[in-house]
Amino acid sequence: MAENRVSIKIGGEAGYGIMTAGATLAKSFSRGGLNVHTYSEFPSLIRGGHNTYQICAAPEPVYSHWDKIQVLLALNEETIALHWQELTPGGAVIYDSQKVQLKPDLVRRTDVHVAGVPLEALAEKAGGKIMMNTVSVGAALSMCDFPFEFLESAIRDQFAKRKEIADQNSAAARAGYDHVGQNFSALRPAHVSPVPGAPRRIVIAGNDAVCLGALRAGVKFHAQYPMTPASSMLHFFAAQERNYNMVSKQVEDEIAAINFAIGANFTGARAMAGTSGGGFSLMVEALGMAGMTEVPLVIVEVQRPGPSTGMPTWTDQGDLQFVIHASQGEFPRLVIAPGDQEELFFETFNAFNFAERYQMPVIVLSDKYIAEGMRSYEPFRWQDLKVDRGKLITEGEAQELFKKDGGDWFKRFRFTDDGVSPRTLPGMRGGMFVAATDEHDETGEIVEAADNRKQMMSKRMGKLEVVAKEIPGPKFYGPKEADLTLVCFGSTKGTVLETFKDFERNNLKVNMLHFVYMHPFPAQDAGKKLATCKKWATVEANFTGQLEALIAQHTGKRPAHAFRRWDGRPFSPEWLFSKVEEVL
Amino acid sequence: MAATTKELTTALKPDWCPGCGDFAILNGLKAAVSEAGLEPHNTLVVSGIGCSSKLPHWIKCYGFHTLHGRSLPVAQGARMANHEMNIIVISGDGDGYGIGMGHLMHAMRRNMRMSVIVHNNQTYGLTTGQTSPTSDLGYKSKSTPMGNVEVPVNPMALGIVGGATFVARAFAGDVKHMKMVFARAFKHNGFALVDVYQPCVTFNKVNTYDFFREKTYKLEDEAHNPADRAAAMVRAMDHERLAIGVFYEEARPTYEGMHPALVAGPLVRHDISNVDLTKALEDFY
Repeated sequence: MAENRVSIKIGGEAGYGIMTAGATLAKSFSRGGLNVHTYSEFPSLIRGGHNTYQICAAPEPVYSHWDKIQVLLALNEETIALHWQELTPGGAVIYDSQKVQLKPDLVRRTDVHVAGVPLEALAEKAGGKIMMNTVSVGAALSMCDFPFEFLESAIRDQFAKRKEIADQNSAAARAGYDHVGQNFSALRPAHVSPVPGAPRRIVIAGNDAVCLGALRAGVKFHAQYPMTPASSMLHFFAAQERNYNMVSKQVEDEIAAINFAIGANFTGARAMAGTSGGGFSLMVEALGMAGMTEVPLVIVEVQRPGPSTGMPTWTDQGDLQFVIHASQGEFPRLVIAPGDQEELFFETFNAFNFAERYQMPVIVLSDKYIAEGMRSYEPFRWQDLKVDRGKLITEGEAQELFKKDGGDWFKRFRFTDDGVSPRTLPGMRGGMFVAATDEHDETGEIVEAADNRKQMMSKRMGKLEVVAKEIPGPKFYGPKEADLTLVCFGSTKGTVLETFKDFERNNLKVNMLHFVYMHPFPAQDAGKKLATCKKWATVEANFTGQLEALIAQHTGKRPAHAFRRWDGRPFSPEWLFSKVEEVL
Repeated sequence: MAATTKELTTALKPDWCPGCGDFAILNGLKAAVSEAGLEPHNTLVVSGIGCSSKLPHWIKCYGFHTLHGRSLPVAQGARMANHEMNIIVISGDGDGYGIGMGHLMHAMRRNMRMSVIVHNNQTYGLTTGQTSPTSDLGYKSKSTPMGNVEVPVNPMALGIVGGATFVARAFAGDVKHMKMVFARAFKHNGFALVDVYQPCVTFNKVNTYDFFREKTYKLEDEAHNPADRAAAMVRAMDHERLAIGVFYEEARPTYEGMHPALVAGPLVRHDISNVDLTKALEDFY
């Protein structure tokens, strides 16, 4: 293992503190100047709630997880049975030597090592069995030859308010670290060195990045009903309510969530609702209301495999066409599918500006892989982001317009060149109107006349044409000249970028065309860019090829190959490389 | 500045059927809004879908004519954004007790300040006469030609046990009394549920003006104490003599009154132009 990179998988039953251990390990590497990527799986509960957490670390950016691992941290026997095949030659399993009777046929390989460490006993000695996860983190770090100080600092910060617990955890980690150092000094499945002078980085999951973007955009109200894998947005906002003087509301269902958010936005506070596909299904009727009444709205939809309850804890991209078409009738909306945590941050911020400037619903489409997975980044540059509230007018302006127009009501749905009307808020004198979900005239009065209907439809749908001029088209990554272009959207970006490393090593000329803005579809730009590709293939996580269909619908173009998976598992560089190799 | 009932009146006239109880409710509402001194620009009338829910178009305040059954979550979102706004919710028995029932139960628990007026005509009017959640047992309609076999919803009893802090009923045939009930609801600092017996002259030939004139009595005339929850429940469960007036009222902190973020003033007035993320980013290093 000459490479300065490592992939560690921690596995065990739910309740062993695997998520905490994994996050601590990721932070330790990050503090040592490495870039990290984390991915967690919590498969079928029938098998005893088996959880895994994978950390990949390297000096260069790590864009996705890898299928292969160098260190398997097995907190129970099942973990060894399920994952020993994922180890690279020279890799090592760390397991509890006093708790697990290692059967001779459990690891049927001679090219990997098994390292028995008395994890629980060392934890007990340090202060309690519960710290077994911390002991194992220390052991894993030692296996990589990574200095202990970074783990120590991560633990100190994690328990900053409880010194005694910090001391105990630090001792537990040290015990695991030293035990491996003393007993397995010859075993080094990976060697990763700190990068001196590396920038200070954050390690962040997509759901948290979304919430940060929303905070910067001035979100004042968030409504959500718990649903995997979207729930951590609810937790983030609940934790930040007091720091940011906002309201985070858990409501009775997703129908309530979107309607609360619409009510808050209508009244002038920036508001959003977060959910997954099932919850979004419940929101569909109200989405149309936001379109019809021209209320700005931001919805974050974190995909998981459907249909119905599907596979709640896994990843998928099967809701693309659904969110584009959801709700009866036709109305304008924007659909944005960011590719990683950093894009989730910036695009959620942008979503709020788009929603207010065009007075329409904006859907941010995420998925489990980037929503719960973490990556390290230099802190997002939030300072230059400018809040733009569009045609929200002042009370004075409202009164002036109202006086000029006469009549009972303010013309909230006034016909304008760009279809966007000056907007008043309840509380403003001279701004009174009734927003109606029925077809209405410029004042909001219900009118079913054909002429008015035609004009109002053109006004609303016209906004889509205006916004289409301003949204970015798909973006190329990788070499300019390529034999194959991988075309994808959303979270697939990470895996493709990570696989570039393998393409380069193998002299394969492959690049990527990545879509973030999905609707309105940037047809012209996409068509032009695809026309320059020698050969292109779609990569997407759904059964029917929804991006492929979207491209065909808008450009008439079809890919040479379609690489799809719909098994709930994320794309990995190994999987993608093998697919590309077959066709090049 | 408060508005007169004339100032609250729109040029456009309501399109309800002649004789509909909704006219009386609209008049009672305008009178109560005027007398309570609610400023029209600081008043938001939120409705769902149904005959009753067209009302916001005919009272000059801010209005939001939302979706069937969704007036309450929209109104609560509005209340969260601006808790200095007077919020009046207009609903019907189908809108409020049928498709919107789930929201009602949770809104009552939360106790946000708003007055919820349910036009209860015990039938679906706009969809041309089907059985509603409050239709009497045996009620015959296009959807129950053999007669309704489902026990009707009891809104007063639900309000009392469900956490509403003000539970009252009025009758569209007595505008003066109704205005008094509305005015008390507006004054109540919390969630006020006001059910109104509203005869549907087109589709409901059972629960008519005469029916209610004969069956109803005023709680005020019988020295009912609205602080007495058990007594309120007994009145609510009486299906022979139908009480109108205030069944139940209690003082309980409102949701918005307890939320620390709202102490800094209505959310809509917070400055969002340059939110500092330094603090929120701290956890991620």
